[in-house]
Amino acid sequence: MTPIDNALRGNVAGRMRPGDSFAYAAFGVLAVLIAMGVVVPLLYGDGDVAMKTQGLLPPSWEHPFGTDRYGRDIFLRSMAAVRIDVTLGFAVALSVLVFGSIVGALSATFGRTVDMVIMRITDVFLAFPAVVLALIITASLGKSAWFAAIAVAIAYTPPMVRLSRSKALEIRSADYVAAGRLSGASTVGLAFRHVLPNAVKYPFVQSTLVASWAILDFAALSFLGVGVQPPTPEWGSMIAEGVGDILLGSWWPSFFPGSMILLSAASFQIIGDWLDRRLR
Amino acid sequence: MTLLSVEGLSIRTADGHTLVRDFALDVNPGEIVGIVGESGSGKTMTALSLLGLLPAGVSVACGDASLSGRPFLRDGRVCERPNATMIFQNPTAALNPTMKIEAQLIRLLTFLGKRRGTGRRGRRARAEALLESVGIHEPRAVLRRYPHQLSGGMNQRVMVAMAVAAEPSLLIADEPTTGLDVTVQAQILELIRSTVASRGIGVLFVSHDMGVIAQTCRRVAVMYHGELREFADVDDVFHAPRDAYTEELLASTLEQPSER
Amino acid sequence: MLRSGLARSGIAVVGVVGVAVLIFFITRLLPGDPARVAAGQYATDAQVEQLRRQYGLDQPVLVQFGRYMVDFFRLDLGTSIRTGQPVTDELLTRLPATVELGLLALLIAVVLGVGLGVLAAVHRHRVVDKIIQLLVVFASAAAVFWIALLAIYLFVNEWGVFTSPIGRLPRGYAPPDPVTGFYVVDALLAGDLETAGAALRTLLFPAMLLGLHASPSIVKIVRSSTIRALESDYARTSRSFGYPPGSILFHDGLRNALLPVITNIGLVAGFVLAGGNVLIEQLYAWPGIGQYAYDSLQENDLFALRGYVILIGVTYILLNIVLELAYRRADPRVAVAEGR
Ligand SMILES: Nc1ncnc2c1ncn2[C@@H]1O[C@H](COP(=O)(O)OP(=O)(O)OP(=O)(O)O)[C@@H](O)[C@H]1O
Ligand SMILES: [Mg+2]
Repeated sequence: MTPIDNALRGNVAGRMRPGDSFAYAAFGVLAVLIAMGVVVPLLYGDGDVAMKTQGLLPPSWEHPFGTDRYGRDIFLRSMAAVRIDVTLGFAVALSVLVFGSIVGALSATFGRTVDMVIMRITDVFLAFPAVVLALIITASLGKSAWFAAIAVAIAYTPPMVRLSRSKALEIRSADYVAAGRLSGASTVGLAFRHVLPNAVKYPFVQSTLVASWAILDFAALSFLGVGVQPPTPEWGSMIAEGVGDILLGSWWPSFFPGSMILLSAASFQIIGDWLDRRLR
Repeated sequence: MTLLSVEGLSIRTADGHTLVRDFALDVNPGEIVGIVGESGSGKTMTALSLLGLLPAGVSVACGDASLSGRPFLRDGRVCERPNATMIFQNPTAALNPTMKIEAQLIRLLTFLGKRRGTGRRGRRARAEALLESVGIHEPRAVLRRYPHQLSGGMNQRVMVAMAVAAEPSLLIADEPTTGLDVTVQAQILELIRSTVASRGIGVLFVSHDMGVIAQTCRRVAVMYHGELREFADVDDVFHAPRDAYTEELLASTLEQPSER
Repeated sequence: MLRSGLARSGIAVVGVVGVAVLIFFITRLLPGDPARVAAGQYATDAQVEQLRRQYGLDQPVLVQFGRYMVDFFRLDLGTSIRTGQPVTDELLTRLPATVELGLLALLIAVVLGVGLGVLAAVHRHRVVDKIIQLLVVFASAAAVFWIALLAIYLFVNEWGVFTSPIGRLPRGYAPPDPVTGFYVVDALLAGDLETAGAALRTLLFPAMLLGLHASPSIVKIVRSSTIRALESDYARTSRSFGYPPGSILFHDGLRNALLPVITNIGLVAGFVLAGGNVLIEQLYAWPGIGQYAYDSLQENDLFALRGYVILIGVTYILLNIVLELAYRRADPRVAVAEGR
């Protein structure tokens, strides 16, 4: 029987069980990355000061990722950037989770008017891709890493509000909330005691994905010049600094920071997918 | 000669649970044989396994089965397609929601025509005739509809029409009337009975309702937790159950006789 | 139908106005100061003050808001600080380049996404599926500007597959007479096959990247909806009759699986038009609205950037209205619920 035949029969022998190995690998990669981000700069500095080395040395034992055009060690800078980029991923995910879930739960709990106003506002936000929204917010506030981080967090909050609202609404119709109502619990009390914790599961999964997107969008903002400003080491702006070099044949100044983005963003996504399967 | 015979059938999941253990039964031509048991006892899995329709992750571990003397299941392996068709619980979901009834009937007739070497001509008229044969009075109107525009009873009639069109020697009916209201339920049961009478095919009739089984079948297999507890004449099972579980099942049915 | 059509256009109008209001709020009420931003870090207070007066930023906020909304309804998105030209005009002249790139990218994304999604669904939980899912993760976790940069390095510098990305045509070609604004179409209309070919080859490179960038979400949706369809009761009915696999895949699988794709294409299109677009157009020197946004950003031209963002938001809302109507036509269940 052909494989397609087999699959369509729905009775598939020798299926792979949804493995957790990718997820463990992702946790491992993230842990190593964070550990290196803490330890390497402590031991060897963050490569910010131009060394006495030559510029644009290709990767070697001494400089595993090579050096950039100012003779700075790209490995040290990439590791130093972990402190900004991965921390930012966590921080944005956490603030989006907390703020989004609270607003969503409140929207589901308070009456129709509040709910409608909040929903119409999130509708408008959702008319923009997050990176565009983050771009205009950062551009309006001023070019800085802080503003870019805030902008990314704002951009990802509305979808989180919607998600936690819809989960809260599902739960609100459940019996025990009705029982709480009957026994005379207050609206705010209900929101915090029953609706919020039960509504937090799916938003939690979502927040790991937000961490991944935040890393990508933050790097994009820095690449565009509105986020982290050089010479602070950050993956997006390091890629931007390498644009001229890569077109002249030196691929490493842009390649390695970009693969750091790939590794960390992919790890968060794989973990998110895994949590999604586990918590279902 | 027996039409269908099943022996030593066991069904297992990929993670090692046994859903059905050592099941056996036989059906004679023109006979309606029931399978009864509480929810989760493995009736549906048994029925699906005969047509190779088990869901992903569930498979036949061992067992033999033959239809009209031709083995189609040998030691747990399908060795050919049995000439059998099936109708399901929840008929509306069993029909493709994006195709009109006409398209679904034509799809079947085209497929059957190819297999039998008869032409493509007259498929529409045949579709109409098929619907009429299952007691649909306005076949043209029904042909133009999508499944969700029809009642559950009507969709089950369409399913019966399709199942019969394939001219099977065995019809498997998995709770064909569950969820339909009482009058429609009676009509569908009558339709199945008359089909059996006019075509002389055998029916394997799955239900969890002893009352329906008693009305429909001569012999019944009682299942409990994946095991065959009893396989005997309905009358015997009713009046002198040999098994404690059968007794319990009977008692619960008699308590609420008109529930379904 | 008419009733729901009216309701829907009502929602669209509210959405469009909402977009305008939100962007005003972001650009004017956040603690930033557009005049200071525009004048640059080293401008004197007097210069900033002058800019402020010139663009009416010294007026009370409410007056500014009123003027902004009136202009907005006249389709006037203000004047670019950088070029002194009306933003609406500048965006409109650049729109065809972006739409040409976006449409091809969307096509690539859909073909790639549906193809891989169906493949993964048919081989679900097996090796092929795992590989596709891993590809999806990596495609959506790679920064699009990084991939684009590496692609330029490899395909142009190292392997010479594509010419150097310097706009919509390689060196030495004259743009065709503008009819639609799409170079490939216009060149074909003019009967100039050579230019059409050159334009298509130039277009293909950025479109491939943008398409690849947008495809993961389509793969995910198509995979899960195809699996759902293949494991549905009606697919089981088809298997019970012994229909051939191709028929089951097409009639039961694809037919039912592609409906959710229609609604999601709105998101993907927004993504293609705007998400990766600023970055891709800048790297490929593609003279569309994304590059306009990039240039405005570099020169702190908040008004031009604001125009770009508004255009993106409004387009997205209108696009979704159209797609919702399309969905209603495609899915008989929705059409009936509406009483059509
Ligand atoms: N896809 C599946 N994978 C693994 N186990 C399953 C699957 N589907 C059903 N089961 C299990 O198989 C057992 C038998 O289910 P089955 O559907 O055959 O019961 P049933 O007798 O038809 O009950 P009902 O009256 O509810 O239809 C149940 O315990 C169920 O949990
Ligand atoms: Mg069942």
